Parts: sequence; structure tokens; C-alpha cells
Amino acid sequence: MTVTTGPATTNEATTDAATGTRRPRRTTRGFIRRHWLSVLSPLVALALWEFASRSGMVSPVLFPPPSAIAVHAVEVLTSEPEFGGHIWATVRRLLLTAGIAAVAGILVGTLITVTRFVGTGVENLLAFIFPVPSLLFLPMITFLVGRTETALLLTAAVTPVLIMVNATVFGMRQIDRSLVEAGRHYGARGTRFFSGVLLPGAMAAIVPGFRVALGFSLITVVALEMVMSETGLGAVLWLSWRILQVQDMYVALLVVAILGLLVTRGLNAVMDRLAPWQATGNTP
Amino acid sequence: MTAVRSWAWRIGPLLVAALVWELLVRTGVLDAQFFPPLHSILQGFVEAFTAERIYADIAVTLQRLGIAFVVAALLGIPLAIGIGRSQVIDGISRPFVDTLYPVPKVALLPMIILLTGAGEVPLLLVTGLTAFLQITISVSGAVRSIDTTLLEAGSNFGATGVRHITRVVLPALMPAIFSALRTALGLCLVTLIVVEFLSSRTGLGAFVAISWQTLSVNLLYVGVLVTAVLGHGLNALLRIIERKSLPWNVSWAGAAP
Repeated sequence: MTVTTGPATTNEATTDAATGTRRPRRTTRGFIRRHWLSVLSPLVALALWEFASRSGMVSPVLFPPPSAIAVHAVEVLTSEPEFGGHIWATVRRLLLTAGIAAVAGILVGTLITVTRFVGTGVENLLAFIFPVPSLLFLPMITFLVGRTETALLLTAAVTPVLIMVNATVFGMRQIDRSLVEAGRHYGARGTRFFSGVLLPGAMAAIVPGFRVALGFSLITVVALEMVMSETGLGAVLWLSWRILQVQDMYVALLVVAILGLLVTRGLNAVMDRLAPWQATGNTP
Repeated sequence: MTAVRSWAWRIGPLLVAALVWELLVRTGVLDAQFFPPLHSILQGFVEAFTAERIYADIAVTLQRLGIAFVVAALLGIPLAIGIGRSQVIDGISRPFVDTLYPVPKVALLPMIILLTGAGEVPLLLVTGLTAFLQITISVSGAVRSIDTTLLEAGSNFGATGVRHITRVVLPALMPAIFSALRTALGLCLVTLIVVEFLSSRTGLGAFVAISWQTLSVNLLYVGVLVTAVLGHGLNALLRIIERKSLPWNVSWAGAAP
């Protein structure tokens, strides 16, 4: 049941976001009638792959038929607690990285906004390192904290933090002046000014920023797991490729893809439900 | 005058940061073995640009980036226009684009290496795919939001078929295309550096990885700084091209970072 409605609901959320309107839930049949091409094209692709692999046009060792991968996925996910451990390791890192990004990003962003002179300097400094991939900070961070889990998390958080800083600064700068002054007049100072005026005022920019930061966190976490970890989906991808455990690699890839979909589309759907007045774009 | 001031604002903080770095190293807060003082990083620059192979690495990275990015743009922009203008193309390609877009492209690297063998091709494919999906998604969104008066005026004046695309749709899209290209180029560079770091012996990403492995700490920092400069340089280059080719468009004026 969940298997058949899963893709349907995901796509439905997408079309909703694209047209900016909310439709009542449709049946699976109605969905297929409207989107039969989108249902058909991946099925055709999978069928071609299945055929090519079964007939030996491509190596079935390197490219096992999708049906075999599906069977293997069910097997691995239900009977190998180790694989569940890898998924949990990645999810945990993803959440921690995004958490670091949110806290540090909003904090630094606020400081940049309220301290004009130093703030602009720090902002420009951060802008300078923005194009550098997080991964390149790994050596420096390992010099400081060793090749540890902390190093992985801190490195993964570099770009997401910068994204959150940008979003926070942007959001806070566009707050209506009169709101800021009203807040001041009614005596909001210090942390109360932050939690009562700045933060809620900037939320409209912080929330979409967090979506982007979360997407980037998934990228950096997986990449770092490939480089320096024994656990997590990135490690499975990298190791199973090396020892030619190809089916494990495909299952890991599948789970990463699902995580990616959850992180973007899933979060969009949640946000649409929580804040329906704020139209979410189709993409982060 | 304002130009001088904006440059001072960009360079000044870097100098202050360098000063703070030097202070932290001198006072022993940062271990000088891993965080060398400025003069030895400068030495690293001299070394990298005279004795070392960093020219070759920069050239390799730029070449890969150029190939992957140009191919991605040449495939992505037409597909995006197709998606925006035709329900059939939209229906067929949407599941693939929507599924692949949020997947970290680095995760595809092992599979692509299996597909094509190790070497240059997997690097180009992973990098190109990143840019391709970004361009396709951003531009197809823009195609749907083209002002309908433009389209109707175009067809009233007889622009149909190919002329409709080249004379009406493309010009209307140019600002969106440039903005998509800039985003895509940034992502493309990041992905390329990461895959070079992971699985190549050449290119800037590999330069940093190798410097790290051999503990050539000075060169390590040189690699990181060169990457940052390259990223800004490429972005500036696209902005200049945009300004030259779309003089009527004002989006660049206020959008500078």
C-alpha cells in the first residue's frame, strides 16, 4: 500500500507547490490518468534496465536487474541490523549537522546584523570562503580535533552554516524599520529584542534557508562519510564499490535518494502544512 | 570612490583575519606545525607557483569544469524550454529530474565509475550532472513564468516554431538563464573539487588531498585559498559576460554580493 501511494503523494505535493494551490487528495487512479507519462517513463526505463541486465547486454554483476536489487533491498533492510545502523548513522549526522548549522548560523547572522562595523567585516570574510567546498576544511579541522566524529560534523557543517548566516542576515535586514522601532519603543532589549523582533521578523528567510542548508548537509555528510568514516551510507557506497558488493551499493544509493527526497520535498510538504500562507517554491 | 571603498571592505577583513591568524600562531594557541605563520604560507604560494605543479592542477580543474559546464548548459537549457513549453516532455522527464535533483551527486560517483571505468569520464559526468539538473530546474521554472503578453505579442507578429523560441522565448529567458548558470557554476566547481579530492590524482581537489596526505601544510592552505579565488573569479566572469550581453537588464546592479 505504502509502496503504491508513496510516489503518488510525493508528486502530488510537487504539483501543488508548483501551482501554488492546494488540491483535495486524489485517488491513485485519478493521479495516473493525469500523470500517466510521468508514471510510464520511469517504468519503461526500469524495464529496459531489467531486460538489458537479464539478457546480458550489460554485465549483470555490475548492473543487477532492478527486481534483484529490490529483493536485495528488502532482504538487507529487514534482516541486517548492520545496514539499519548505517542508515541511522547518516540520519543522525544529518540532523546534528543541520542543527549546528541552524544554531551557529542564526547566532552569527544575528551578531553580524547587530554589530554594523565588525559585522560587515565578518560577513565579507565569510563571503570569501563561501565558494570553497566544505570538504576542503577537513584537513584543518582534523588538525584541531583529530580524525574524530566531531571533525566530520564540524566539516560537514561549514557550508550549511554559511547558508544559514546568509539567510539570517538577509532576513533581519529586510525587517520593516517601523517594526524594529516599535519593538525598541516598547522596551525590547537584548535577548528579548532578538526573540521578539529580530527572529520572528527574519523567519520568512530563515526557514527557506534551512531547507537549502539541510540539502547541503546531506551532500557534505555523504561525501565526508566516503572520505573518512566506516559507518553511514557514504561509507557503504564507497566500501561496497571497492569490494564489488554492488547490490549493497545500489541499496545505499536508493536510501540516499529517498533521504534526499525527504529532505527537500518532504520538508516542503511539512512547511506547506505548517505555514500555508507562505507559498513554497517547487525547489529549494 | 565607492569602488575603492567596496574593495577596501572586501580586502580589509581578509587582512584582519590574517593578522588574527598570525597572532594565534605566534602566541601558540594554534600549533605552528599545522597552522603555519603567514610568511610560510606565502612561501607556500611561491613554491606552488614556481616549483610545484599547481598551474597544471588549476588548468586541469578549469578544463574539466569548462567541458562539464558547457555540455550541461547546452543540454539543460533546451530541455528546460521543452519542459516549460510541452506537457509531454515535462511528463516524461519530470520523474527523473525530480528524483535525481535532491540526490547528492557525489553519491553517484561509485555507480558511474562502475558504468564507465575510473578516469576522466566519471568526474565529468558527476560534475556535469550537477550543473545540468540545476540549470534544467531553474530555467524550466522561469519558462513557465514568462510574461504571456510577450508570448502573445510575439505570435501576433508572426513568430512561430523555431523563430518563436529564438526571438521570443530565449530573449525573455536570458536573465533567468544567467542567474541559473551562476548558481550552477558554483555548484559545479564544488562538486568537481570534491570528486577530485575523492578519486583523482590531478586537479585542485587532488592537490589539497595530496598536500594533506603528505603533510605539506603550506601547500594545503595555498590549495584552499586558490579554490576560493577561483570560485569568485568564475562568478565575476559570468557577471561580466551577463553585463555585456544583456545591457538592458538591471538585475546585476543590485545583486552584487
